[in-house]
Amino acid sequence: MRSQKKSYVKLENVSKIYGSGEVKIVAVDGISFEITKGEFVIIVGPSGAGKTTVLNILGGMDKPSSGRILVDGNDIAGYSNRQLTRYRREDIGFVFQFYNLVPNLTALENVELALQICRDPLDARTVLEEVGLKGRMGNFPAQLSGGEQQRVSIARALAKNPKLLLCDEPTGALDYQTGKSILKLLQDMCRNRGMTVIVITHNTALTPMADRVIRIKNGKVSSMAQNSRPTPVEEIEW
Amino acid sequence: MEIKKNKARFISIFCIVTLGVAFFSGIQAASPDMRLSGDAYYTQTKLMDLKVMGTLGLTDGDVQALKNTEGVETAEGSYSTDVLCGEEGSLKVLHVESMTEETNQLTVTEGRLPEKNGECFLDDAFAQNQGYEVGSRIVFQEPEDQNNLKSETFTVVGTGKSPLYISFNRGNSTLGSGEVNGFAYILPGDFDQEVYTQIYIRAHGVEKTTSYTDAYDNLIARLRKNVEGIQKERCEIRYNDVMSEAEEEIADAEKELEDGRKEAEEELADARQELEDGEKELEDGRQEYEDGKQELADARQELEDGRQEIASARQTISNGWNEIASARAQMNDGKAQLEAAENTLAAKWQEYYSGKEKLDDGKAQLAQAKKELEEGKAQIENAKKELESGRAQIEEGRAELDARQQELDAGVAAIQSAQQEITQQTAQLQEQIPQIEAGIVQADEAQAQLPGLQQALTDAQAVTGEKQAALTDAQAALETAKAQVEAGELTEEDLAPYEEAVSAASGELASAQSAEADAQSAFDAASQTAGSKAGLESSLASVRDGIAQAEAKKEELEQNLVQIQQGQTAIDEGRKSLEEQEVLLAPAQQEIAAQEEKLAPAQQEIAENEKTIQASEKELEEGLQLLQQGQAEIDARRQQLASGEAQIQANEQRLVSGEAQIQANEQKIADGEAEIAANEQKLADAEKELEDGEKELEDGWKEYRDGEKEAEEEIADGEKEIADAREDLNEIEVPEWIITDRTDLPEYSDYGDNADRIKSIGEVFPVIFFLVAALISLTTMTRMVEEQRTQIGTLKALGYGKYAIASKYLNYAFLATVGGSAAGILIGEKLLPYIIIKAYGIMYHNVEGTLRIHYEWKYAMTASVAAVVCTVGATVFSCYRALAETPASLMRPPAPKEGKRVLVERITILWKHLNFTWKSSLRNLFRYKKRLFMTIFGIAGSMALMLVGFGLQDSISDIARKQYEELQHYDGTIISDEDATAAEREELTAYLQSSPEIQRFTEVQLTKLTAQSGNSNISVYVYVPENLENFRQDVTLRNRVTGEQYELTDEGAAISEKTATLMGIQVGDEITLEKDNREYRAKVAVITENYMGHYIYMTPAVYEQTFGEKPEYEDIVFSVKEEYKDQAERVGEKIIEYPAALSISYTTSTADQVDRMLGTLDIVIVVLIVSAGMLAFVVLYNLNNINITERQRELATLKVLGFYDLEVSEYVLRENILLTIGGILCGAGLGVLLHRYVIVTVEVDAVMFGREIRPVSFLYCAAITGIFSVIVNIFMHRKMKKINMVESLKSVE
Repeated sequence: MRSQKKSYVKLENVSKIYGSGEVKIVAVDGISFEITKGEFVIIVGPSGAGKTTVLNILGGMDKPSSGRILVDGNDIAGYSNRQLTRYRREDIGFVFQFYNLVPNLTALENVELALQICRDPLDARTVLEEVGLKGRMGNFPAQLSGGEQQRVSIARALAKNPKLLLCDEPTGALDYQTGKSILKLLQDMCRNRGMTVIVITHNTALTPMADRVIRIKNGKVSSMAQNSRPTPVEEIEW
Repeated sequence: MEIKKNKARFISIFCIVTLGVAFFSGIQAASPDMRLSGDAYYTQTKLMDLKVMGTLGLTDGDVQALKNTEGVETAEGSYSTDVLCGEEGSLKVLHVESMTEETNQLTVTEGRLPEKNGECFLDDAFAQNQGYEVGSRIVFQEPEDQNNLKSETFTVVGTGKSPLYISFNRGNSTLGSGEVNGFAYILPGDFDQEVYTQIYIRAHGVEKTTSYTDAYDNLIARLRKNVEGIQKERCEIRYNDVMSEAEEEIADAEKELEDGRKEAEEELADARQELEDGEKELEDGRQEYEDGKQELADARQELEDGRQEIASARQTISNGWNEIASARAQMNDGKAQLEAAENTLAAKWQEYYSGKEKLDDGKAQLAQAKKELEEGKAQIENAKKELESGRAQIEEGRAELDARQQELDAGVAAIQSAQQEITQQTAQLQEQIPQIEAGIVQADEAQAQLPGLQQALTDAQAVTGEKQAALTDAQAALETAKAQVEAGELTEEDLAPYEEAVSAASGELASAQSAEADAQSAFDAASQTAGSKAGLESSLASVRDGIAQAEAKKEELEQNLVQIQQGQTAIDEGRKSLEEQEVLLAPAQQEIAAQEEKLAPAQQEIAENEKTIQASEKELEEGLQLLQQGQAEIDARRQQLASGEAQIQANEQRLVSGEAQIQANEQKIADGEAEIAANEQKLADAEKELEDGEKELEDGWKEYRDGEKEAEEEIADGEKEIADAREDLNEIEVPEWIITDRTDLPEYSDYGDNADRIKSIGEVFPVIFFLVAALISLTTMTRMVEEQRTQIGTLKALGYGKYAIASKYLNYAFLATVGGSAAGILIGEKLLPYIIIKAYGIMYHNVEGTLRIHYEWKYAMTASVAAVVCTVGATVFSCYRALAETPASLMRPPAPKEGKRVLVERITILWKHLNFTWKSSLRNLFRYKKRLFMTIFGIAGSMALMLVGFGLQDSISDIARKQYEELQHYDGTIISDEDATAAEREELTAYLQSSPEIQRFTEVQLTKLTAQSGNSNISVYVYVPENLENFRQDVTLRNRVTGEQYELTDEGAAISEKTATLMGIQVGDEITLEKDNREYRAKVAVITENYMGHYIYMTPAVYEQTFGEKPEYEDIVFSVKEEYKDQAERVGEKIIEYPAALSISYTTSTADQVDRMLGTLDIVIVVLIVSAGMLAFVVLYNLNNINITERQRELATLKVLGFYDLEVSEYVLRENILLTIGGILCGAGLGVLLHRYVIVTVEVDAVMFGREIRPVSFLYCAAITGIFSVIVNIFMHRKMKKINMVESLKSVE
């Protein structure tokens, strides 16, 4: 899995400053890190540390105020909105804390919705089966539990076959067990599919399961550690 | 706080409420504002409330009487007349009125009001159109039979408006094309009218009421009643005045005529007298002239007589002269004769003397001869002797001779023959001898009887003398006669016998003289020839004596002869002897014979001579006698001649004196002639004078006759005029007052109708509008409450009371609504009426200046309250629902709306082919049913409103075209003059028949009747064409919906659709018509499409059947040819010149007027459309806004998923598009219904608007809605682009 040591994602001195004029909030202040392909990365930090901002920037949802973001060799910092949209569309899979499913589409349709804009999608049903929703494919999100919804959400992200799977507090709105199973799913996906997965969490307890842990504090990378032997999710307790 | 936060929502509610309220109250307020504006103008200009016109004019007394009538504020009389102005070919009709002080104030646009005579104030619209400016001159041309103005040319001192004409229409006229083109005001002093044309009345208390309201109408109705109260009395007075005045006038006129006639007659009589005098004079002159001429003729006759006399005198004289000449000639003849006679006598004498001489000579010769003879004899003797001597010789010679005798015998024979000859000669001689002898005897006798001859001559002379005496007597008698003539005792004629006598006498004398001459000549001849056979007979005895003597002498002579013969014998013997001798003496003998021979002629000669001598002697003697007689006669004659000459001389003397007299007379005659010539000249002059006089007289007569004729004509004219006047007077009826109020002013009522129309529109249209607006604000507020449920829950959890929590939203809604209402009222009630009235101002330009835009609190409050109730109610409702929940459930995010399978999914084939965005969109549509409904309703409402707007335009704008192009095809209606004679009508129809511009015409009966419809009466035109064939071309009968065409048949009447609808009549029913207070029923066979007015078309048969009388075709509808369509009015101008045509109403102008009237609705419609569009926009925007806000998270997700902006927009806007389409479809349906409703509401009784909306209007509306949708979508797209994914996804909130 860690085949190449070559960095797949590289952030160089990325900063993000919100606001203008006198009041300036520096959300991200010169962050730099590298991620290699196929890694399961956890970005951890306290609330307001700027991790979501980093993820947003990395996911092409936001632009940095300065710095370079190289994803698979491309600097997305200089991307236009449209390029960013394309980047999101083709290279990024998102998993949100609140699932963000389209309420009036079924589970399957929600997945398919994402797939119809992809170039090289996976089969929706297969993915849904993979995430354990074989029997719930025809259900509307309102008819699904939180975990199931998150699975649909992950399935939707995975089915796109993205370069990066970005998950923002995927377990935040879930109970412990469900959260665990979701994390397991994510880890499995990473391991099985060799997908680069970046998970943001404030829960430091989850760090052992990651290949790489990036700690962020006050908009800065406080530490970055590679975990040569990540712990399976099942073994982690929090 | 909340407002600040939810600014967009607040504004949207604010706006939608503003819009709704503004529209509702604005449109509603427009109608009263229109009335108020109108009323303000009318009040300001003191527009009359009643106008009284009298058929015989109105007097100051009428004005005073009206002033005193109860309810009358003021009354003012004014003059008016219609005139023509402009150039030939484009004459315009102007209504000229006198300025009034207390009513109908003019509004000056430019310049000033007239201040002195000759100035005029002109209609500014007219001035503008016709290019008159202040300061320019205008000429008013009055019709020939009208002279109401003192002068023709006026100076335009100002232009402006009159409250009597609030729009374009200037009323009708009997002049020109029949339509008044403008008005002009001048000072009353410029009018030359005795009585007022009209009296304008202002009602008391009119300022307190508003025109077009019932209050005003009631006031006027009361006033009218009061005015009508005094009408009869005043009319009676006026009638009497007019009659007496007219009679007086007629009497004056008659008197004048009589005077004129008298004068004319006097003049004529004078003229005639003069002429007659002149004629008489002329006659006298002519008489004189004739007399003069006669005199002259007499004179000339006299002169001629004189001349004749002179001529005859001259003739007489010349006769006298002739006579004298002849007398003288006679005398001369006589003299000549005498002279001739004398000459003759002298010759005779000469002869005689010569005879005598000759005789003597002869005698002498004879003697000589004798002597010679003797001598010869002697010689002979001698010879004989010789002979004898020679005898011997002869004898001797005789032998010879004998020998010779032989010869001689031959010779003797010869001699004998010679002797014979001689004998013959001798016999002749002997014959002559007796003659000679007789002559000798006669001569002797003459000599002897000379006295006898003389006697005879004397006798002859005596005869001559007698004759001369007779002549003398005659002459004497002539003389005496002449003397008598001269003495005058006898006329010249009387002279004639004398003269005749004289001439007879002179003739006799002449004959006598000729007889004398004859006698003389006879005498001479006789004496010459037969020995005065005649003379012998007269003086036979003496002649016989003479003869005897002559015989004796003859004898002697014979003796002598014998002797001679003896001698001869002797000679013979001698000869013999001689012969013997001769013979003997042949030579001698020969000689002797020769000698003898010689001698023989000598002897013969001698003998002859002797004879001659003897005869001559005798003759001589006779001649002598005769001569002597002749001499005597001649002497007597001479004597006579002398006396005749004396007489002649006396006569000559007389003749000379006569001639002198004649000359004197001639002189006199010449003088007379000169005089005559002079007189003739004078006469000629006189004639010329006479001729001149005659000519003058003739001229005078001609002049007189002309004068007479003229006078007669004038008198006849005057009489005719008087007769006409009297007839007119007889025709004058008791006058009537025509009392009209403001509704009779052109377009006054239309203005009110338009206000009503706006009101009708305001009653329907804004309500829908308002409903939509209210619904939208309701949705918005509901949405707001729902969005803030968490907050509500929190507050509730924190312990806030329900009211406290709700009050926040209620305040929000209330503020937004009240604010919006306030803004709406402020804007709407000012702006919309302003726009609408301004729009109407295009037509009713007078009113523009007096805009009275009030806040109609009634409508404002209605709208505001409704708005507040709607929004606040909606908020209360939402809050109530939210507050009913527990704080816990409120704190949780709202249970997401369940995704639902929609109906479409059942159609799996279709569903499977849809992509997920579509699926999502469709599911979305049905998931938010409320929103779906609201959106569709909102869009449909706007669409419907727009459609109503367009539809109104379609329905209204088309009716004029439809009515006058598709249904009624004729170009005009000629209203006939009821008083026109049949001939005049025929003249008109003949013209229409022949005019090249007229396509066709039909005589029709066009009667306005009343039909009962529910509570109200409607005016229905009964139209009966004379010619059904033309009618088919003039009017199309058809079904409005199916377009099926109908024929007008005898089965029944065709009635217009609106009429049928109003009266609830179906085909086959009977329609009840009221005519002269009687009801008639007609079967309805056809209901036909019709838009303007109510028509009942009937065939003559149906008419007759219905009304029991034959139709009277009084009016004429006509169509001009295609190429003259745009000149219908010009064609009409020619028609109206015919007296039978009273006026013409043109289809085009009616159509134009209708168009213009309804055209103002266009602006209203535009307002409607714009408002509806705005509403559509606001609705779309608002709903989309809600939609997007509601689904922000979803959209953010899509964005994060990598949907392009466009795809995201599509995802949402697809719904919008679908909703818009749905809204449009619903709106179309709704619009049709609404339009129908609005049309029926807006429609007035007399007009049917079109029921259809043109398809293109649907397109327009759809397009406009679509465009708004697109605009909204673009806004939304922008908005969606701005959606911050990070922010949206951050929290559930």
